[in-house]
Amino acid sequence: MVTPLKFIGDERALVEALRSRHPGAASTLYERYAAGVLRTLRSALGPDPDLPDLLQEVFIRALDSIAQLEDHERLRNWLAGIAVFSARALIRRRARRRWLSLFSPQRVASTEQAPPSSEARLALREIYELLNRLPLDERMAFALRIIDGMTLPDAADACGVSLATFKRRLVRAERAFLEAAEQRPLLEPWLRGGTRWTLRRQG
Amino acid sequence: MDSPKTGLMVLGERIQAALEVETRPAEVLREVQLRLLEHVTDTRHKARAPSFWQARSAALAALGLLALGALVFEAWPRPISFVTSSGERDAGDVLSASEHAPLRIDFSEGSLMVLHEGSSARVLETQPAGARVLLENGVADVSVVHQQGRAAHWRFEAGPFQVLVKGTQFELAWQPAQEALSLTMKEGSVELSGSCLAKPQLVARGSSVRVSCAKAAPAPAQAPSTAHETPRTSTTAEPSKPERTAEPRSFEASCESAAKAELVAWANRERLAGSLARARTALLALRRRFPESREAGTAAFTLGRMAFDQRANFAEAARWFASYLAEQPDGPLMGDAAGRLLEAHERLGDRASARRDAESYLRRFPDGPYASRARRILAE
Repeated sequence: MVTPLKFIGDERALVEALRSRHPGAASTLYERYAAGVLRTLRSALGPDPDLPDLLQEVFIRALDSIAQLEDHERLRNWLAGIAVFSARALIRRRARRRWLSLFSPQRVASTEQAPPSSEARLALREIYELLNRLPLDERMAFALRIIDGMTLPDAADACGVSLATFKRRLVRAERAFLEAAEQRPLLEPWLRGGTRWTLRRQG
Repeated sequence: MDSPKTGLMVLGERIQAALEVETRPAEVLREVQLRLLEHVTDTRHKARAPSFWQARSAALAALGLLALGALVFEAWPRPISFVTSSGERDAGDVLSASEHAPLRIDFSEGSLMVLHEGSSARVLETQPAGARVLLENGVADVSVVHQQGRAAHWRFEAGPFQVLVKGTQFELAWQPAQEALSLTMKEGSVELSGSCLAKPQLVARGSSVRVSCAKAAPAPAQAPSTAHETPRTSTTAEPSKPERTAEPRSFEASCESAAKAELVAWANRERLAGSLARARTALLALRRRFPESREAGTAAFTLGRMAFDQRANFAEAARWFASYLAEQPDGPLMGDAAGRLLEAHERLGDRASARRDAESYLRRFPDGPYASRARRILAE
């Protein structure tokens, strides 16, 4: 077991400590922000077995590139941006693999996952199947705003786009997701909480 | 500025709540923290090596087209599988060794578990680099293989205890009647946690540990009533002496004044951290104080799942699942509750109830995850 040293200080001091490789700074960075980063990653990817590896990647990358952070007040959003970047990279890698697997039909079956063992998992799988069909930018907009619950400015910042661009992506994503989800009976109880949105949209 | 919360945002919250349950964030955070600290320690003691991303980019460039071609034929990571000496079984099935012979369970990545005579366990789920196993009763000899380049994700559960494994050999025994767990390490190390342990303990090679928790308050004889539940308050453990002063009582007192959302968060946090008694306290308080809420129904389901998975108390589990179905007949966990209800009745030997549950389940979920079990019950 590794016992972390403690670092005490505000965000500005923490960033400075990270840059000077203070022995307890990495641990403090993780303790303060890991839960939020994990939430962002799982919102983007769903219940994915690679979440631990990806979470580790985000923090290794952050520690390696902390010198590039210009404004310490952006630390949280900066980490969220790295998480978004990492999640997008993973999704792209998987898309490439799926494309390559077309040349190896015998491998296609092996990519199937074990059947989900609970109703909630079944619904989550359907939800993320629907998100998989969205363009990547729109998928990320939906994940950050709707599932992660980020504010619009924070989500736009994490994606590295203007607020207007993010809003356009989000509108397209919401529409596409809802239209597809309404065709899935399993999601009907999950969507029931969304009737207000549906009615407003129809109205 | 943000518009008022829309229905889609409510859906998002429900997705997030389901993800919170399914992704075991407390476990992931703890595991990655250890890995990250080891990484930081390693890099600090080495000459400044190329950064992770530089090294990765260089490796990718060097592999080039070779990697591209290899990818076509590479087997993608997928959950491991397992086979027993008495045939193939699915995740969730009961694996029972007879009274006269052990049962061998071989996992596809090389790990092995041998159940001693009369013991039973279930592989609850499998992942690309591990599995979650529930030892329901008896003794299991376990040998976990550490795959090169991939962190192992093995977790064994027995009653209120969890054993987090990296790559090791050990013997695990669980006696539900005494709520007693014993663990003998042969190689490597594991992290042992449980509701009656003050904090997770590292158990290393050559060590032998025996731990027992005091019995929980008896389950309600009738359908669970939010007004008469007595949360479990006292536990004992050995060899460690848990730091039990006034702290558990203050947790109960906090539950009496906490907001609904806080109770939900506390219950999830404690459950995922392995503190099942405190999770139960929070869930019971939630049901007692907010009986009409959607969260109270979900709490019934969670209580049922804890009784089923952690304590193998199928009678109590069945009552909680039935409560959930009565309170939220169209709730998002309805299918799972119905499936687990039929399984609980089957495990209790209550064939009439199990058949009734199976018929009801198949009417609503002919292709659901419990459909094959339901058909088997009806065919018997």
